[in-house]
Amino acid sequence: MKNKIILSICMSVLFISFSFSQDKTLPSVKVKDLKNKMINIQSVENDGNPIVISFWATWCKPCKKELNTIAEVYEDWQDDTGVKLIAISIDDSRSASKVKPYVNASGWEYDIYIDSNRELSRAMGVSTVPHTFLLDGNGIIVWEHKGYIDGDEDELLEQIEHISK
Amino acid sequence: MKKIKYIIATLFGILLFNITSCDIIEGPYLIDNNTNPVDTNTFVKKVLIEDFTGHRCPNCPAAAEELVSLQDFYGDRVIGIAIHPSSPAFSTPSPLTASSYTYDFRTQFGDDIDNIFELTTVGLPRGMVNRTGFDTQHQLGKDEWSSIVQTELEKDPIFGITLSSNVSNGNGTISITAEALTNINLDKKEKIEDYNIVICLTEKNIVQWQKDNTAGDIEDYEHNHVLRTMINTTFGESIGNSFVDGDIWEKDYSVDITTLENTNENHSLNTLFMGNGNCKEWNEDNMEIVVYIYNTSNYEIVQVEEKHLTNH
Amino acid sequence: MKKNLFILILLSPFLLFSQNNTGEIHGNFESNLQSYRDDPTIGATAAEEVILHNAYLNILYTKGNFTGGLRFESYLNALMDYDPKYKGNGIPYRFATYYSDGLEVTVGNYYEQFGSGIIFRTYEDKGLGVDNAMDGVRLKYSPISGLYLKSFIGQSRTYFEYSEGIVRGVDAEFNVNEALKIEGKTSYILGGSFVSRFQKDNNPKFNLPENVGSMATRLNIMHGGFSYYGEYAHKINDPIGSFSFDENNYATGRAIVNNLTYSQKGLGVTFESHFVDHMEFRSERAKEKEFIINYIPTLSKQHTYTLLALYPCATQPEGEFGFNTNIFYKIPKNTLLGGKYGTNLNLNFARTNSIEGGTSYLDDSSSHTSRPLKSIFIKNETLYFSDFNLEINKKINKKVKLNLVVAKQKYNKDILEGKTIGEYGIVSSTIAIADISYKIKKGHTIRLELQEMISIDDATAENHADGDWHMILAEYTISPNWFFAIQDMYNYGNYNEEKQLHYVNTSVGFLKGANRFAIGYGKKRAGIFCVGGVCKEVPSSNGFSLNISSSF
Repeated sequence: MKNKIILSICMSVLFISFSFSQDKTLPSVKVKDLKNKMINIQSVENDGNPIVISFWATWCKPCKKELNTIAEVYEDWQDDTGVKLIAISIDDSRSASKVKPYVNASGWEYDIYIDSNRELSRAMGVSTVPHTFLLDGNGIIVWEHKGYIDGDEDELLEQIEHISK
Repeated sequence: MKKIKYIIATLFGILLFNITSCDIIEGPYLIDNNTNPVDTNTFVKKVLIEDFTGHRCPNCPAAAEELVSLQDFYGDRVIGIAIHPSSPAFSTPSPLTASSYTYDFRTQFGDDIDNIFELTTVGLPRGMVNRTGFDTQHQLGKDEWSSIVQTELEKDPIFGITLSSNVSNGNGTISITAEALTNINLDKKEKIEDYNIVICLTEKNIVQWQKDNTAGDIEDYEHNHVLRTMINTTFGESIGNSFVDGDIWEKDYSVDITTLENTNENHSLNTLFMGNGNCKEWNEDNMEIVVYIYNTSNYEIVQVEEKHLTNH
Repeated sequence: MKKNLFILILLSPFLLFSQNNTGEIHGNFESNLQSYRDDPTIGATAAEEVILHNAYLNILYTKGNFTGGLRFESYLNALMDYDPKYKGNGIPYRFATYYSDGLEVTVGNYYEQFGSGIIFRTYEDKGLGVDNAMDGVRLKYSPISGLYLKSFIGQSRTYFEYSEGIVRGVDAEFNVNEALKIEGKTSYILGGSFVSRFQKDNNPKFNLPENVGSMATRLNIMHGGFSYYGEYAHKINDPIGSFSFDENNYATGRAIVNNLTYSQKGLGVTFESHFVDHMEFRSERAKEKEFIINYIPTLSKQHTYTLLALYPCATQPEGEFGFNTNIFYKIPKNTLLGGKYGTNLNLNFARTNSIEGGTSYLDDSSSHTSRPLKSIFIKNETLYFSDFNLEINKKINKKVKLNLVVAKQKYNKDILEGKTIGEYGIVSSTIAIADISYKIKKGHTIRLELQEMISIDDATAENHADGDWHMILAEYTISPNWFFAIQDMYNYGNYNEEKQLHYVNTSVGFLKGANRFAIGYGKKRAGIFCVGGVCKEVPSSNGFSLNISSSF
């Protein structure tokens, strides 16, 4: 009996969710910047240019590979499309203190935020890292991608170029 | 600026308030009283702890210790059975040629119980207290036993069990009487529940190897309450579901230790069971009869009694 | 029935607003299916059900300042590396939150962390099977900018049930520069928290505390490239409520965490240390892992290469001193060692050991022996874990990338896996790893991982750890959709010749947008996975797996 109720609730929610066809935007969740200041993620902006949001962690090899690869061409991307990359670390208190030293040592020019108890990841449906989102100039999520394999940065760039035109 | 000071002050106020509500115990830690009723003429509620253990399980002696502590405190109101279920890591015996852990404590009955209650799947040591909480909260770590024992002992008994035995030299009869202490009617719509009675034999003072977390391999560990056999099958037989206060159920069971020992040996020699047949040398003078009554719908044990097998 | 009503109330906004087509619904879905068959050589057993399946569906609804959500979980039955107490279907997680004028109210389930988590952290980690979400009420309030207050009350989740103990807590964080509008080179953040658990004393033998409090203060100072974080925690007597005399420890718990980091462009240095004594904090007295509601970060590098993570460190919350230091350095471009693209180096050294004199212990017959903080200078304390490693990451040219790791680890198997003292002793391993990727053409990459571990232990002949391992992994990826991988772990140096086995695994995955599908087939070895002080033992298995994850 209980299971039937649960099932019917789930089904109806699923049904409703499919009947929604509106745009996906950023949730209102606070994260910390590298100065440990709380920032609402909704407040990020880029003068109407696209924003890439990439979830990563210091212990995640493919994440670091993705962000290091983009770091090499980031200046070109910025010049061409005006894009801004925001890297959100999901490192918990075990490794959060390594985020800033790692970022600085690697010479990344991204905006870095820390989501240490995964509130933002949960709100955005991020279950594994890396997970990359692309926001258009109006803050609407137009593309997302789970995982990183070598060469994925090319597809990301295509998507950015597509919306920045 | 003033506002901040005010807020911080309030905050610390809240913190202080909370801290003062902490219970720092300066000692004594032991409560010096004995709550056991000593009137032996009337039946009292007793509780059964089934301790799932293994001779190679290094954390298990601590659980046995907890059982001893509970028995020290509550006296004979707490009855224990040590079940050694089949677990490759913890209870399979070594080959007879090995120097240690060659004794096979396991029984078919213990494995049947474990199949239903799945204690080995959550890891040993674990135990059940009167099998309460089936089927999500019955697999209890040793630290969880005491509070359930206390709760169970506060209940009124609904049955009283009387045991007598005339077993000597391996043969004899066990007589069991169960008396309803209140009106009981379990017969619900559509579903008929039963009370089943189960008869076990356990043995104490078995000196064998045991692995221990701090002491390492102990050669002469004393194993107590070891489940040896169950006389009327693992899940027992029905005594009915409807009683009037004072109703009495009686039955005699004849016991032949050699036959029971051989049943166990046959099981231990079964290759699937990975045993070695080394499970005999029962000492009837160290054996106890443990009889319990449980509700078949939720497995909950409502009463239990223990008595020496022989009169020696 | 009460629960279902609650869910319906939670869901009512979905139903109401669905007409107006406002608000947003998002979620994600994950399904993990695994088949199990008998394989006596590796000790794998078949599941009676043949296949086991875990699935989760998260749904979040947001409209303006309101958010509601739930998670449907299904374990039919739980995968073998999960606790079998995860059983059946249900909605163990549902919540509603609204936000107005700096006040955030959450009812239902929530995850929360105070400071670095040493007195309170509830979180979920599906990989580990950890989910101790609270169920109750939480408030967050920011009366002025720079001051953040949090308070909560609730019970912690244990599988599909909730703890008997009620947990309450408050936390305040004060960002001095933000509140006082100071723009300076130096910034200060102060914080304090208090958490208390109530559980009735049902033990007639011992006098047990019904309200157990735990408090912590913290300080964060940043100046230029330097950053310091310190936290001190204190927990009052918290015996486990046993009847056995020497199991009830009435001692006070304490912990100190110190992190110091420095960084500038191209260089980063971290030094972290902690001292922990009798600090396991649970939502019930009983010493069971599912009741743990605090988190003491483990002081070692979190490795992802298989052989580096074969013997993972785990915090011993009952008594440990440890430190972990990292140096990140990038050798600049166009130098002799840096080459055209520069070279990234990461040197790491971590060590944890017992605290001097052992964990604080107190009962009626022995006096309080809570030790002073002397263990900072390592003397003769028992080693728990040490790891010295160097990682070199280098892009050779446009096609070839190289990652090399060498490590020397010592692992106290008896302590970290709860074995009998002296059974295995310390496992000492030397590990070398080469990870090379080669770009064949646009989007096509082949990657090769070669791993080697030489390992000895000081156990007696009967019980040995696994000994030496080889591992080889080959991966072929086609961006943006496909990956193919095959790996072989070979335990060629096992002391027991019968256990010198190959563990071969293959997997194929397809990724598109927010969906990911992976199919795997092969053998997995039994192992141990840890986060914080929480470890999970995974049995060996042989079979087929299918994982689907997607978000919308």
